[in-house]
Amino acid sequence: MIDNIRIKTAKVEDGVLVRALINHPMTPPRKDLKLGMMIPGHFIEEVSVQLNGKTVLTGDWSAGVTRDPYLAFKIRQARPGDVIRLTWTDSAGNTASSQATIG
Amino acid sequence: MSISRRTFVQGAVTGAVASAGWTAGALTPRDARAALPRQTFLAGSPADAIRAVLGTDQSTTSAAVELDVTGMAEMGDLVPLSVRTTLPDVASITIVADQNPNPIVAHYRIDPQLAPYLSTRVRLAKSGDVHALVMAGGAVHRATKYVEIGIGGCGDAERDATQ
Repeated sequence: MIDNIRIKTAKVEDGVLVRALINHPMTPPRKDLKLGMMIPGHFIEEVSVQLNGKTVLTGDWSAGVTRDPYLAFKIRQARPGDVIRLTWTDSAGNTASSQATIG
Repeated sequence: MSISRRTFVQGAVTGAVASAGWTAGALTPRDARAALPRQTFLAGSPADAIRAVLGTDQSTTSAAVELDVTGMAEMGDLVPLSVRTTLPDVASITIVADQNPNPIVAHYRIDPQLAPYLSTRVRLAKSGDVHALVMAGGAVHRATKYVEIGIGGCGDAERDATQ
Protein backbone atom coordinates (compact mmCIF):
# COMPACT_ATOMS: atom_id res chain seq x y z
CA MET A 1 0.00 0.00 0.00
CA ILE A 2 2.80 2.32 -0.87
CA ASP A 3 0.50 4.75 -2.66
CA ASN A 4 -1.96 5.20 0.16
CA ILE A 5 -2.54 8.86 1.00
CA ARG A 6 -5.17 10.00 3.46
CA ILE A 7 -6.28 13.62 3.43
CA LYS A 8 -8.58 15.14 6.01
CA THR A 9 -9.89 18.66 6.12
CA ALA A 10 -11.36 20.56 9.03
CA LYS A 11 -12.74 24.05 9.33
CA VAL A 12 -10.78 26.05 11.87
CA GLU A 13 -10.94 29.61 13.11
CA ASP A 14 -8.57 31.05 10.53
CA GLY A 15 -9.29 28.87 7.51
CA VAL A 16 -9.28 25.21 6.66
CA LEU A 17 -6.77 22.86 8.23
CA VAL A 18 -5.61 20.10 5.93
CA ARG A 19 -3.89 17.04 7.34
CA ALA A 20 -2.30 14.45 5.10
CA LEU A 21 -0.86 11.10 6.06
CA ILE A 22 1.20 9.29 3.45
CA ASN A 23 2.21 5.64 3.62
CA HIS A 24 5.86 5.45 2.70
CA PRO A 25 8.89 3.71 4.26
CA MET A 26 11.11 6.84 3.94
CA THR A 27 14.25 4.71 4.26
CA PRO A 28 17.31 6.90 4.78
CA PRO A 29 20.48 6.25 2.79
CA ARG A 30 22.92 4.55 5.08
CA LYS A 31 26.43 3.32 5.17
CA ASP A 32 26.81 -0.44 5.18
CA LEU A 33 29.54 -1.03 7.74
CA LYS A 34 30.58 -4.37 6.28
CA LEU A 35 30.75 -3.24 2.67
CA GLY A 36 31.83 0.27 3.58
CA MET A 37 29.66 1.87 0.97
CA MET A 38 26.51 3.91 0.85
CA ILE A 39 23.23 2.15 0.25
CA PRO A 40 20.74 4.48 -1.38
CA GLY A 41 17.66 5.32 0.59
CA HIS A 42 14.10 5.20 -0.57
CA PHE A 43 12.25 8.32 0.40
CA ILE A 44 9.89 10.96 -0.91
CA GLU A 45 11.83 13.80 -2.48
CA GLU A 46 9.08 16.09 -3.53
CA VAL A 47 5.53 16.60 -2.41
CA SER A 48 3.18 19.15 -3.92
CA VAL A 49 -0.29 20.34 -3.10
CA GLN A 50 -2.73 21.77 -5.59
CA LEU A 51 -5.79 23.76 -4.63
CA ASN A 52 -8.29 23.65 -7.49
CA GLY A 53 -5.43 22.78 -9.83
CA LYS A 54 -3.10 25.56 -8.70
CA THR A 55 0.07 24.60 -6.84
CA VAL A 56 0.01 26.20 -3.42
CA LEU A 57 2.63 24.19 -1.55
CA THR A 58 5.79 22.40 -2.64
CA GLY A 59 7.91 20.46 -0.22
CA ASP A 60 11.42 19.23 -0.91
CA TRP A 61 12.12 16.48 1.56
CA SER A 62 15.13 14.60 2.77
CA ALA A 63 14.89 11.28 4.57
CA GLY A 64 14.81 13.39 7.73
CA VAL A 65 11.05 13.33 7.37
CA THR A 66 9.67 10.34 9.26
CA ARG A 67 8.36 7.10 7.88
CA ASP A 68 4.68 7.44 6.94
CA PRO A 69 5.01 11.21 6.67
CA TYR A 70 2.48 13.55 8.18
CA LEU A 71 1.95 17.02 6.82
CA ALA A 72 -0.52 19.63 7.96
CA PHE A 73 -1.10 23.09 6.54
CA LYS A 74 -3.80 25.74 6.50
CA ILE A 75 -5.70 27.27 3.62
CA ARG A 76 -6.68 30.84 4.44
CA GLN A 77 -9.90 30.91 2.48
CA ALA A 78 -11.55 27.83 1.12
CA ARG A 79 -15.07 27.21 -0.07
CA PRO A 80 -16.99 23.97 0.11
CA GLY A 81 -16.27 22.04 -3.06
CA ASP A 82 -12.68 23.22 -3.35
CA VAL A 83 -10.43 20.34 -4.32
CA ILE A 84 -7.09 19.60 -2.68
CA ARG A 85 -4.76 17.26 -4.48
CA LEU A 86 -1.52 15.96 -3.00
CA THR A 87 1.16 14.35 -5.16
CA TRP A 88 4.49 12.88 -4.17
CA THR A 89 7.52 11.59 -6.04
CA ASP A 90 10.12 9.44 -4.35
CA SER A 91 13.77 8.65 -4.93
CA ALA A 92 12.88 5.45 -6.80
CA GLY A 93 10.80 7.43 -9.29
CA ASN A 94 7.48 6.25 -7.87
CA THR A 95 4.69 8.73 -7.72
CA ALA A 96 1.26 8.79 -6.16
CA SER A 97 -1.55 11.25 -5.90
CA SER A 98 -4.77 11.62 -3.98
CA GLN A 99 -7.42 14.27 -3.59
CA ALA A 100 -10.02 15.46 -1.15
CA THR A 101 -12.93 17.85 -1.43
CA ILE A 102 -13.52 20.44 1.23
CA GLY A 103 -16.93 19.80 2.74
CA MET B 1 36.48 16.52 2.75
CA SER B 2 38.81 14.95 0.25
CA ILE B 3 37.69 12.26 -2.16
CA SER B 4 40.44 10.23 -3.76
CA ARG B 5 40.10 9.45 -7.44
CA ARG B 6 39.85 5.73 -6.65
CA THR B 7 37.10 6.23 -4.12
CA PHE B 8 35.22 8.50 -6.47
CA VAL B 9 35.30 6.04 -9.33
CA GLN B 10 34.15 3.20 -7.12
CA GLY B 11 31.36 5.34 -5.80
CA ALA B 12 30.23 6.31 -9.29
CA VAL B 13 30.18 2.70 -10.39
CA THR B 14 27.93 1.66 -7.55
CA GLY B 15 25.67 4.59 -8.21
CA ALA B 16 26.57 6.37 -5.05
CA VAL B 17 29.16 9.03 -4.50
CA ALA B 18 31.24 7.65 -1.67
CA SER B 19 31.66 9.71 1.47
CA ALA B 20 29.31 12.43 0.26
CA GLY B 21 27.14 11.67 3.23
CA TRP B 22 23.66 10.56 4.05
CA THR B 23 21.89 11.34 0.82
CA ALA B 24 24.61 10.22 -1.56
CA GLY B 25 22.27 7.71 -3.12
CA ALA B 26 19.90 10.45 -4.19
CA LEU B 27 22.30 11.85 -6.77
CA THR B 28 20.90 10.53 -10.02
CA PRO B 29 20.12 12.24 -13.33
CA ARG B 30 16.38 11.89 -12.74
CA ASP B 31 16.68 14.47 -10.03
CA ALA B 32 17.48 17.15 -12.56
CA ARG B 33 13.80 17.84 -13.12
CA ALA B 34 13.17 18.77 -9.50
CA ALA B 35 12.57 22.46 -8.96
CA LEU B 36 15.22 22.50 -6.28
CA PRO B 37 18.36 20.64 -7.32
CA ARG B 38 18.78 17.60 -5.15
CA GLN B 39 22.46 18.40 -4.94
CA THR B 40 21.65 21.24 -2.60
CA PHE B 41 20.52 18.64 -0.12
CA LEU B 42 23.96 17.05 -0.25
CA ALA B 43 25.71 20.13 1.04
CA GLY B 44 27.68 19.09 4.10
CA SER B 45 27.46 21.70 6.82
CA PRO B 46 24.19 23.30 7.87
CA ALA B 47 25.44 26.71 6.67
CA ASP B 48 26.37 25.34 3.23
CA ALA B 49 23.06 23.56 2.86
CA ILE B 50 21.07 26.62 3.90
CA ARG B 51 23.02 28.79 1.46
CA ALA B 52 22.31 26.31 -1.31
CA VAL B 53 18.59 26.29 -0.61
CA LEU B 54 17.88 29.89 0.38
CA GLY B 55 20.74 31.70 -1.35
CA THR B 56 22.04 33.05 1.94
CA ASP B 57 23.05 31.66 5.29
CA GLN B 58 22.34 34.95 7.04
CA SER B 59 19.28 34.94 9.25
CA THR B 60 18.01 36.90 12.18
CA THR B 61 16.33 35.46 15.24
CA SER B 62 12.73 36.55 15.19
CA ALA B 63 10.05 36.35 17.84
CA ALA B 64 7.52 36.32 15.01
CA VAL B 65 8.59 32.80 14.10
CA GLU B 66 7.28 30.12 16.39
CA LEU B 67 8.91 26.69 16.35
CA ASP B 68 6.90 24.21 18.31
CA VAL B 69 8.95 21.11 19.11
CA THR B 70 9.71 19.21 22.27
CA GLY B 71 12.94 20.02 24.07
CA MET B 72 13.52 16.42 25.01
CA ALA B 73 12.62 13.44 22.84
CA GLU B 74 13.11 9.89 24.00
CA MET B 75 13.36 8.64 20.42
CA GLY B 76 14.73 10.68 17.55
CA ASP B 77 12.90 8.77 14.86
CA LEU B 78 9.59 10.53 15.32
CA VAL B 79 9.58 14.08 16.59
CA PRO B 80 6.45 16.17 15.96
CA LEU B 81 7.28 19.68 14.89
CA SER B 82 5.29 22.65 13.75
CA VAL B 83 6.15 26.11 12.54
CA ARG B 84 3.96 29.17 12.43
CA THR B 85 4.67 32.83 11.95
CA THR B 86 2.95 36.19 12.00
CA LEU B 87 5.27 37.57 9.33
CA PRO B 88 3.67 38.76 6.08
CA ASP B 89 4.76 37.69 2.58
CA VAL B 90 6.11 34.29 3.53
CA ALA B 91 7.75 32.60 0.55
CA SER B 92 9.21 29.52 2.16
CA ILE B 93 9.67 27.64 5.40
CA THR B 94 12.75 25.47 5.88
CA ILE B 95 13.35 22.99 8.67
CA VAL B 96 17.00 22.42 9.54
CA ALA B 97 18.49 19.96 12.02
CA ASP B 98 22.13 20.83 12.65
CA GLN B 99 23.14 17.33 13.74
CA ASN B 100 21.42 15.36 10.99
CA PRO B 101 23.65 13.75 8.33
CA ASN B 102 21.61 15.84 5.93
CA PRO B 103 20.82 19.09 7.74
CA ILE B 104 17.95 20.25 5.51
CA VAL B 105 15.04 18.14 6.65
CA ALA B 106 12.41 19.82 4.49
CA HIS B 107 12.01 22.96 2.46
CA TYR B 108 8.52 24.21 1.67
CA ARG B 109 7.55 26.88 -0.82
CA ILE B 110 4.28 28.44 0.21
CA ASP B 111 1.66 30.27 -1.80
CA PRO B 112 -0.05 33.31 -0.20
CA GLN B 113 -3.31 31.33 -0.31
CA LEU B 114 -1.94 29.26 2.55
CA ALA B 115 -1.50 30.50 6.08
CA PRO B 116 2.17 30.43 7.15
CA TYR B 117 1.75 27.27 9.18
CA LEU B 118 3.16 23.78 8.79
CA SER B 119 3.13 20.74 10.96
CA THR B 120 5.10 17.57 10.31
CA ARG B 121 7.14 14.84 11.97
CA VAL B 122 10.88 14.63 11.63
CA ARG B 123 13.80 12.33 12.38
CA LEU B 124 16.62 13.70 14.44
CA ALA B 125 19.94 11.88 14.52
CA LYS B 126 21.41 13.41 17.66
CA SER B 127 20.78 16.06 20.25
CA GLY B 128 21.25 19.47 18.70
CA ASP B 129 19.72 22.69 17.47
CA VAL B 130 16.68 22.57 15.22
CA HIS B 131 15.88 25.69 13.22
CA ALA B 132 12.82 26.97 11.45
CA LEU B 133 13.87 29.41 8.75
CA VAL B 134 11.16 31.60 7.29
CA MET B 135 11.88 33.52 4.12
CA ALA B 136 9.63 36.56 4.21
CA GLY B 137 10.03 39.88 2.44
CA GLY B 138 13.44 38.86 1.10
CA ALA B 139 14.95 38.21 4.52
CA VAL B 140 15.39 35.03 6.51
CA HIS B 141 13.89 34.92 9.98
CA ARG B 142 14.81 32.18 12.38
CA ALA B 143 13.56 30.34 15.42
CA THR B 144 15.86 27.81 17.05
CA LYS B 145 15.29 25.18 19.68
CA TYR B 146 17.69 22.69 21.21
CA VAL B 147 16.26 19.19 21.17
CA GLU B 148 17.78 16.50 23.33
CA ILE B 149 17.50 13.01 21.88
CA GLY B 150 17.64 9.74 23.80
CA ILE B 151 17.95 7.42 20.81
CA GLY B 152 18.82 8.76 17.39
CA GLY B 153 16.52 8.32 14.44
CA CYS B 154 18.84 8.00 11.48
CA GLY B 155 20.12 4.47 11.75
CA ASP B 156 23.25 5.54 13.55
CA ALA B 157 25.13 2.24 13.84
CA GLU B 158 28.01 3.84 15.71
CA ARG B 159 25.83 4.70 18.64
CA ASP B 160 27.11 3.51 21.98
CA ALA B 161 25.82 -0.03 22.36
CA THR B 162 25.96 0.12 26.16
CA GLN B 163 22.91 2.39 26.34
